[in-house]
Amino acid sequence: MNVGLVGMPNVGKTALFNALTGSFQKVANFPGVTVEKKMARMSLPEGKQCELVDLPGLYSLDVATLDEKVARDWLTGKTATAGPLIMVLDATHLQKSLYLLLQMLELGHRPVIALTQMDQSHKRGQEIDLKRFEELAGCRVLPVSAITGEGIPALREAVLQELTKNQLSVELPKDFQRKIKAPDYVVNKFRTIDEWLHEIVKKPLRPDTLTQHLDRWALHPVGGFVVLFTLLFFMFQALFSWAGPAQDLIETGMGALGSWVGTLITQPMLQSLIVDGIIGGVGGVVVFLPQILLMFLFIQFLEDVGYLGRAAFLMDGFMRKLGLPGKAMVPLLSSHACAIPGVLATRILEDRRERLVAMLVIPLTTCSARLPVFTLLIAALIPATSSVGPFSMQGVAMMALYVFPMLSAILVAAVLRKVMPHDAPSMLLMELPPYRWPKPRHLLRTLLNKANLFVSNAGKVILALSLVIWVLVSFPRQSDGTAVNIEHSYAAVIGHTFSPIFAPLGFDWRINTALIPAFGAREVLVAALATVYAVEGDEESQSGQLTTILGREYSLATLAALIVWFIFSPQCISTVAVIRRESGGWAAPLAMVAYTLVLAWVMAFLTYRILV
Amino acid sequence: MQGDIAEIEASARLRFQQQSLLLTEAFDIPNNMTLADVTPVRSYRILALSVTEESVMATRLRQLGFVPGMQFVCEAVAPLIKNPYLVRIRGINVALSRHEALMINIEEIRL
Repeated sequence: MNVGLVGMPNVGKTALFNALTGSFQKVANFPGVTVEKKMARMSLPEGKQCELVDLPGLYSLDVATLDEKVARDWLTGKTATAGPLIMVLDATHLQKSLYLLLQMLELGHRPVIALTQMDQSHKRGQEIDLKRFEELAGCRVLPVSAITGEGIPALREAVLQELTKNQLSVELPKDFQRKIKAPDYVVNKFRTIDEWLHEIVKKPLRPDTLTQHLDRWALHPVGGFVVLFTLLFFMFQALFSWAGPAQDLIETGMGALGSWVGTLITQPMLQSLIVDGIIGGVGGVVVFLPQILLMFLFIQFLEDVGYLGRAAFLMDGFMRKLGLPGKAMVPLLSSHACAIPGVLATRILEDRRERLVAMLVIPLTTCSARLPVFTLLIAALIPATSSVGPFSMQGVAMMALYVFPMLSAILVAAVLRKVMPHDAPSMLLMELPPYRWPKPRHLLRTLLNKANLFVSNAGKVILALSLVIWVLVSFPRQSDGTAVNIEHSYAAVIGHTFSPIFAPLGFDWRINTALIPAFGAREVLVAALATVYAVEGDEESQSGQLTTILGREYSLATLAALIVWFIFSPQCISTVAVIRRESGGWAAPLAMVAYTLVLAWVMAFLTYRILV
Repeated sequence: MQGDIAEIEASARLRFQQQSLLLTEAFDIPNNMTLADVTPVRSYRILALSVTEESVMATRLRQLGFVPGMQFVCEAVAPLIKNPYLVRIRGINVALSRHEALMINIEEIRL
């Protein structure tokens, strides 16, 4: 029997889910649909346990999207494993939250009610008569706080009691689905809510002046854009200036590790494998972990604060002209951390075609895996000392490498919308949640989860690809067992094979060789180049000065063309896989790979021709 | 026979007149105002929605509290392009595009 956690969107359901369960969450899909099902073990008093399922948020049993439908089916008794329910109610949004509760009571559910946001409710002078609330609802009402852990033990106790009770049978009245769509039904429910509120709320909430004040700026037709671009600008500056010291530390550490291992292992081939192949390759990418984490942190922060919805609001006018609703900004912005959560976030677009277009252009946005590549290439192109006023020139270039791909994504989307048959852009119609200061613990936890995923998933791919590259550059051996000149290695052969395609872009065989594994994961380019130069025995590669090598070996035109190639080139294997899963076929991922490949080649070619 | 036809014609004409009167009442002055005509910080009441009940948009509107009789306050409108709109309804802030706003017939509540 699974305990379900149910609630409206933006009520703090996920935070409570995290507070109730340990750190081990399982993510799977609900049977038959691509709706994410988050499950975890929840410990109960007396050493007992149960499985807690985080149901997708829904406003009412009258549903609009697939996610909401999954939650509705659970509540209407169509899921066999559905057991007792915990319902999350936001104490500062009772007027909104009670609607779903009333519908659940109507069906015969008696959920345990977890009342969140009590601290905010107190702060804003609200007084709630919990006893009266329990009487009216006929179920337990427990104030809880996901941050302080207050009320959590009582909630566990209540769930245990529910589990030992006999199950209430849920009756779905005939014509219920039709009935709840009638305006009279809705108005009646609203009336009941007002009556309840009259009895439950002894002192009303003072208005949320913080949200009002902030929105005056954040949603201002001119000021709003200033805020948006300032936020983004400082983010890109931060990526360079804040992550720098941590990166230097990791770089030094990796170098020290390499030379230490080098003294331990004296067998030349094994030494080369471990020092050049593994430490050189993986280390080259690990160096960028601080930047990648900072990017994840920033996007998560914006999401938790409630700003992403505001960005969608601001951009709606502009986006609509191009044939997409402003809401498409949410997946586009979150794909800057990683394209995979971006593709998943396209679920907020109700229209199938719009969702498809958003998925197709998401790979163009600069995901954090491209950060290492861009950072390296920018550093090779622009000296660290040059600046524009108080800002570092490298930071400004990085900002351009976020803005330009984003604009390309929007432009390509506009073209796709023109080409594909379509209706008017679908609705914006969304709730803008009140601003909330993110809970550091929740933020940190999400961040650690993501970092863990990145390191373990990407790490495996990078390690495997680094080894393959090492083998390719180190073999074949000469008859006496020593390495051949790298110019005759397998890697060189492969690199030369692709020369006819890449020579017009100014790429030499080393870059060609590095480009191929980069289809597996973008950041491997850095690892691959590092390995190639390490095996080649370049002095400077020993000290991790790949930047210097690139600046010395390649012309400005080649480096610029390489940057442009990476703006447009097809996304990593994982993105292709997730687009296939989400679009339900191979057509979309193949189209994505095809058009980005062509676009990348043409744009890189133009760049090289103009600059050379 | 002649009389019958004349009678049918007359009743049809009458029905047509009644219908067009209803139409005038529904869409003409003074209640042809839609949510696209709102001004910030004023209050309004929803009169009717011109969306099909089964559509996703109708469902979303109902979920967020947009039903006839409901009151709301306009919080913000992008001034030049008149898109999108931000309104406060039943304690929550909702963003609407002009496209959706045009489907909601409203009247102003003067205090």
